[in-house]
Amino acid sequence: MSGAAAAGHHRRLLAAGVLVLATLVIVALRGGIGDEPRLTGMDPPDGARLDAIPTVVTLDFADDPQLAHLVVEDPAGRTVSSGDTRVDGARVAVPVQAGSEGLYQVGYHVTFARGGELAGTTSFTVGTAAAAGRPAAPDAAAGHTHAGKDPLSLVLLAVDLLLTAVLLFLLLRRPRTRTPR
Amino acid sequence: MSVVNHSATRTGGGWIRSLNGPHHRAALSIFMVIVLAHWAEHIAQAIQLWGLGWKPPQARGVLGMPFPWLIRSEWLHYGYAILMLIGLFLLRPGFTGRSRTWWTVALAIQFWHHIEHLLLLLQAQTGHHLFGRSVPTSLLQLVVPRVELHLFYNTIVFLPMVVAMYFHLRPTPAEIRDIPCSCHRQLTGASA
Repeated sequence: MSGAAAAGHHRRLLAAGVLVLATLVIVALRGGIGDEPRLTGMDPPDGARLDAIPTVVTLDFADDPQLAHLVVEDPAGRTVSSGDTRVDGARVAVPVQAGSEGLYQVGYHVTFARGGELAGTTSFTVGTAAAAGRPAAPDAAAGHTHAGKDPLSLVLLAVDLLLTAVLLFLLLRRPRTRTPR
Repeated sequence: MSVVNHSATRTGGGWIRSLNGPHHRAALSIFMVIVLAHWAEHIAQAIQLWGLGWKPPQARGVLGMPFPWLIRSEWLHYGYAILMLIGLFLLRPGFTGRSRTWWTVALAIQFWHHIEHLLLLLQAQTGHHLFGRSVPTSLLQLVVPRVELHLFYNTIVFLPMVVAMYFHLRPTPAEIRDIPCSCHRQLTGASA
C-alpha cells in the first residue's frame, strides 16, 4: 500500500470512528431521562424535631434502589453515619452513632435498577438547639459528580471543544511540511 | 565493529520500535479516537446541562445513560487515566523536536493526574477518605472542587497533546529527516 493510500485509509477509519461516536451521542441525547425517581418517605421526617438521636436513618423510594450512599453529619459537621448503607427493597437505611444536640444533615445518592438516580439532602433537629447558621449540607453525590454547571467548567469545556476541533482537523488532513519562520 | 543504531536507541527495541515506526500513524489514530471519545462524553454532558437544562445527576453523558453506575466508578476513571499515561508513554519515542517536548509535558501532567486518580481509587476501595471527607477526595480538591479540578487536569493534558500533534503532523523540512515514524510517508515518499 502506498503512503498516500495508507494515509487515506487511516483518515477514512478515523472519520468512521468519529461518525460512530457522533451517532452514539445523538442516540443518547434523544433517549431522554425517562420517569424521575421519587423519594416517598423518610424517618426521621425532613425538618423533624426529636428529643433523642435516632439509631438509624431510613429513606423510602418509589423504586427499588440498586446502589445507595447515605451520609449523616452532626451539628459539628462530623460524619455520624456508621457502617454500610443497607438496601432492603425500596428502603435504604444507615446506622447513626451518638452525637451532640442540634441540626443533623442527611445527604443521599441513590441509583435505581431502572437506570434513574436521585440525590438530595434532608435534615432533622435533636434537642432544642437552634438550627440556624449551619453550613452547607453533606453532599453524598459530590464525589461522584462529573459535570458541573458553573462558569469555570463552561470555559474549560469551550477550550476543550476548540482543541477537539483542532485535533480532528489535524487528524483528518494530510500531513504536510511547515515552512520555518 | 559494532554499529550504533540511533533510531533503535531512540525508539527502544522490538515492538515499541515497531509501534513508533511503521505503526505510529495507526497507533496514534487509535489513541486519538479514545481521547476524542472521552471528550465526546464531556461535551455530551455539557449539552445535557447547558443546552437541554438537565440537572447534574441526570447529565451522565453517553455511556452514563444506559449504564449510570459506570460514571460513578472510580475504576473507570482510573482506567482512563492509566490508559492515557500508557499511551503517552508508549507513543512518545515517535515524536521528535518540539513535538516531543510538548508530548513530554502532557506525559508529565498526566502522571500527576494519574496519581490523583490512584488516590481516589484507593480511597474508594478502602473506605478511608482523605481530610476526613465523606467521599474520595483528590489532593488539590483542597483548593478546587472535584468536577472543575479533573476537567482542568484533562484540559492541561489535552492542550500540550494537541500542540505536539500539530508539530508532529506539520514538521519543518529539517525536522522531517529525524522523524522515525510512519506519519510522514506521503511527505518522504516511502511506502508501507
